[in-house]
Amino acid sequence: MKTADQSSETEIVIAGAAESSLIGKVPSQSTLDLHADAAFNLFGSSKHLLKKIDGIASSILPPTVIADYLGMSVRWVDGTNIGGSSVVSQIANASAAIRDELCNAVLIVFGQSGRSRIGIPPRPSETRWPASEYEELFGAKNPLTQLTLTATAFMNKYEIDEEELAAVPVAQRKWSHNVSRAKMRDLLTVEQVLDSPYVMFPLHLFECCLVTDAGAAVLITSRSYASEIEIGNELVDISGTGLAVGPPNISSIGNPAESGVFKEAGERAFESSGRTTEDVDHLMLYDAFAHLPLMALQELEFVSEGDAGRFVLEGNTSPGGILPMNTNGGGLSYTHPGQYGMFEVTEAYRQLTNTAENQVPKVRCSMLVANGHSFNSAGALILEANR
Amino acid sequence: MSGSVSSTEFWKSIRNGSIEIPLCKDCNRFVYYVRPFCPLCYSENLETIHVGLIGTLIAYVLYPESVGSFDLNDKQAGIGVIELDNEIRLLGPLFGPFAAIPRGCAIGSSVEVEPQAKDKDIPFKFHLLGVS
Repeated sequence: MKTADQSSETEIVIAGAAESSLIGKVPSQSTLDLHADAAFNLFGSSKHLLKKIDGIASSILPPTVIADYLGMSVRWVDGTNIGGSSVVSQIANASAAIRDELCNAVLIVFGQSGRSRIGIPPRPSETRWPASEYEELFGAKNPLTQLTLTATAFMNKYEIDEEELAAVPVAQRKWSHNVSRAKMRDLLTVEQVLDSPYVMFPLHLFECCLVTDAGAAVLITSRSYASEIEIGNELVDISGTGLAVGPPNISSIGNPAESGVFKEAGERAFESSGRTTEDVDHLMLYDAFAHLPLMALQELEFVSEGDAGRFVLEGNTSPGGILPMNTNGGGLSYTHPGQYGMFEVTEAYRQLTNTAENQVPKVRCSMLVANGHSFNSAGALILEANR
Repeated sequence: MSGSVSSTEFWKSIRNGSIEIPLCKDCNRFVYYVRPFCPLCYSENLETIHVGLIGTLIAYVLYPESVGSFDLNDKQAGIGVIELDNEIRLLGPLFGPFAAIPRGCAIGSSVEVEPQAKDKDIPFKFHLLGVS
């Protein structure tokens, strides 16, 4: 996202990322409470700084509602809700708004009582026409019986066997094993994954994401404004963003063995950052289901076509591997309230600021990719350490 | 069923026992899901064409209780996406008869679309004819 004439003062950064105090099963907090809790945790003892934040973005509840609840006075709002990738779009929008001086700083805030369902807005299927007209009437609902359809096509085309698919939750459990806030921490074997019941063939229980309550917040601003308000948090550079849009119904995607949108969003993020796969030393790939990170590894060209399953099975994405991936345990083991993208950002921020519980040594460049409403959207983000 | 005005004729054709899908007369591509214009060339010069009822399974999920079952003729076993002639793709409910729901992959199997009468809950069923 840097341009030739951009001075370091106007570079856009993430100036803090935090999560709600509790994640998992949190019936004591509503969806709105989770938003507020995460926002307050971002500012710590400096909550008064919220008065100096003049932009807000959210996806589950309207940003105007949250701004008022938090006592903020804002002049820029973004209510983009494109599912799990909303945060990537919001970061891109916020960066542009700050650069164009529409505001100085944007609080991107998220909360979803996905498990306890406290104060969560209804999800009318009609908003997703034509998926509602052509697919949901047959029982194909996002995500469980819609996004999962692509697993059989992907596995068939690339000859991914069930051991390779099972290796994804096994690898990620090795990460979450050492993360105290992770919902699922017990180590897993491939055999245990394959012995777990099918949720929807071909996906077993441990190959499907958790359903949790959780909140998260991220602050986007310029380097100069972060200094001016003395935010105090470490800064992370937003190096590149990319967004892609696909069909809302799964039968219309070009090839059900590919998302298409992972590739497109990733290429745009690489292009805008000037980085390549060679530069990336930490990955966060959306894992609502175990086949998604495998698809993304291939479409982003971190591995060759057909090699993603073997790559994970051989431990390359596990602790000590050459490409640490989903180091909080991911949506399969850490948390997944419904729109998981924010938690990819918070973990990338922790890794880049050397504050992760599961810290990978010397992370300088982290890439995250998220999809939304099956493959209706995807966003890719490249973040870099500022040290 | 709620839908767009442009899709009314499509659903009516299914309830009458066939599948009719608009074809763009300018770029010769089928328009599915149905729209009153061609999303490739924006032509509104469309004509409705009957398409065949046999397709190939290209993606599917199975309900857990269906895996390995032999007798599922009257039960929906899962959901599939099939490709008909001319690259038209439909999503629908998978039904038997099956020799057995394969534990492995059934992709590439032949599937017959069976339109359902108006008094039935769903407009059509997919019948898996056999694993190739």
